[in-house]
Amino acid sequence: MKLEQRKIYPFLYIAPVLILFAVYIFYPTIFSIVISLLKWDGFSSLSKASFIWFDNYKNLIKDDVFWLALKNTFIFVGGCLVFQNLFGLTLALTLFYVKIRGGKVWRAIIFFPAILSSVIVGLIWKLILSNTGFLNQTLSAIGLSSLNRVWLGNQLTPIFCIIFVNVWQWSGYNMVIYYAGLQSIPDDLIEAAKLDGASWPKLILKIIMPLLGGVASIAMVLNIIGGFKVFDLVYVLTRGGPAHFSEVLTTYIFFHAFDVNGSNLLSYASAIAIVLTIISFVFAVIRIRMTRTVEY
Amino acid sequence: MPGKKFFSNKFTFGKFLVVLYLICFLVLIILPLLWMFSLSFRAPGTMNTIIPNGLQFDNYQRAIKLADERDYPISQMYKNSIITTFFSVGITLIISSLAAYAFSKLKFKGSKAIFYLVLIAMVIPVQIFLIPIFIFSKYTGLLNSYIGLILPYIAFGMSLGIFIFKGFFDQIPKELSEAAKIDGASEFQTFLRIILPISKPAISTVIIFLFLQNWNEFILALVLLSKTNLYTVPVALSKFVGEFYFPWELYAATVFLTAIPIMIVFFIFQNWFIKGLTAGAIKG
Repeated sequence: MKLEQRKIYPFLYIAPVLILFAVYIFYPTIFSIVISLLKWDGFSSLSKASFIWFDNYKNLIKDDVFWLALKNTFIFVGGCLVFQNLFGLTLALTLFYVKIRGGKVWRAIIFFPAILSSVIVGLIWKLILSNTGFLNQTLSAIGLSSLNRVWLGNQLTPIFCIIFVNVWQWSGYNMVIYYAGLQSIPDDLIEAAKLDGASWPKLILKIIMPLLGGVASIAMVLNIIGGFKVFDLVYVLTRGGPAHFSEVLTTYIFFHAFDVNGSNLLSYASAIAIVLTIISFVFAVIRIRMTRTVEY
Repeated sequence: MPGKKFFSNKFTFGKFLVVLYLICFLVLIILPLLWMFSLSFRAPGTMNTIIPNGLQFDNYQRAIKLADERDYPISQMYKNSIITTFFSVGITLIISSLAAYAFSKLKFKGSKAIFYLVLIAMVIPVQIFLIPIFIFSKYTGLLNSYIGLILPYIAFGMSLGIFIFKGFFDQIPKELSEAAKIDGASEFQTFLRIILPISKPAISTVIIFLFLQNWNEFILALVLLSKTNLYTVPVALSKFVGEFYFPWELYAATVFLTAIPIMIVFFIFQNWFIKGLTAGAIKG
């Protein structure tokens, strides 16, 4: 029998993928669940670790920082979702329907931060938001020095600063996604509505928005998934500090697993990771279903 | 083309407001970058003014020297990033196009289930796999090696590759590959000589997406590398600039030394970037 007719043949094509999937995705998932049921620091031998079953999870419930990180994660996801979509949509509408000289260059500039690494973006904004940074300098220069503060070093503002920086970086990306959506709307539809005397607000709400539904839901889910994934920016800007006030789930995992000041309890960190998995899994499934239904 | 003609060229208050909004946003994007750029040309101790007084051009040389002295040579971190990005993107392209071909053209039992399973990796935060991967790498000696970073980069990039390639292959009419097979081509030859050459749009989308993803990747490199001579650009930056006390003018110069090359590449190939990243987001 020729190789091509054998049942095993297609598996030759997917073998490398399957092996990597097993090693880097399947095994870690199972292993994470197992570790989260242990008491283990990750340095001593695994055979010395003991099963404490759900104690890590019970401790999580009693852990104030965990709840704070969870709350911050949802604030972050919500804030980014709203503003990145809002700016993305309005910028796309503006650049697509208003004739402006150099529109293409403008689009590229607004998009540009999306290709920078979050580490670079974080380092730039860390300096701007620092004590004697650009923001405080500017506020002083226009006579608003009463607003000066250590933006990343108090209890309230750091998480909102992080949201702001994330919105700064990713609005342009949302813009090009919406822009692609606008390109797929047939011109004659808009022309016809204009001939009927539809005003711009009406045109946008009644005709353009409904047609953008598919693209909008993709942009939203992308922002949600990206929001749960955020780590680099928080790590560079605040390390979750001061005193955990800007901690999100991902940085809190890192804190317990790898930070020199952390508990070095890999088992506890794994329990947090499992919680994050469960939350993001829901959105992962939505995302995958969406790509099945939306056709472009 | 930006700017359809639906909005009349006449001056209206609405148009004025809309353009004002756009200008505000542009300023918001450009100003932070510009301020940072101006810092990188300032003399030491002149940071507390908004408008620079005087220019200093050797900050960039001093930043490179300082990085050398502190054992974070910038050329070395570029080398590390180039090696890990090049090999991870290259290998991901090969294995994901192969797998996508099987998922798309070779019907086999369980293909759908496996396909959706692989897709999940695309959307779940990598932090979940981080701890087991760290332990696995430690016991297999993969910590602190290029290959130990390249392999997980492939694993976390291949889902997107498979997704985009499968979407593209599905649209190629069957007649094309059937004709090749009648001419005596094997399945693999059909893939290599017929399917791949017409898949350039998919290939460029995958390249651009994975290039940025792996070039900018941070947390895996942070956890899996602890030797400074192996640090990729983001890790080296965060350790070097982020953790030491640093003179601002050199801080800014170092940040721009790592940002300028990608800036230049972006503005030369901007259409390609935007098209590829949009397609990757919408289709993948």
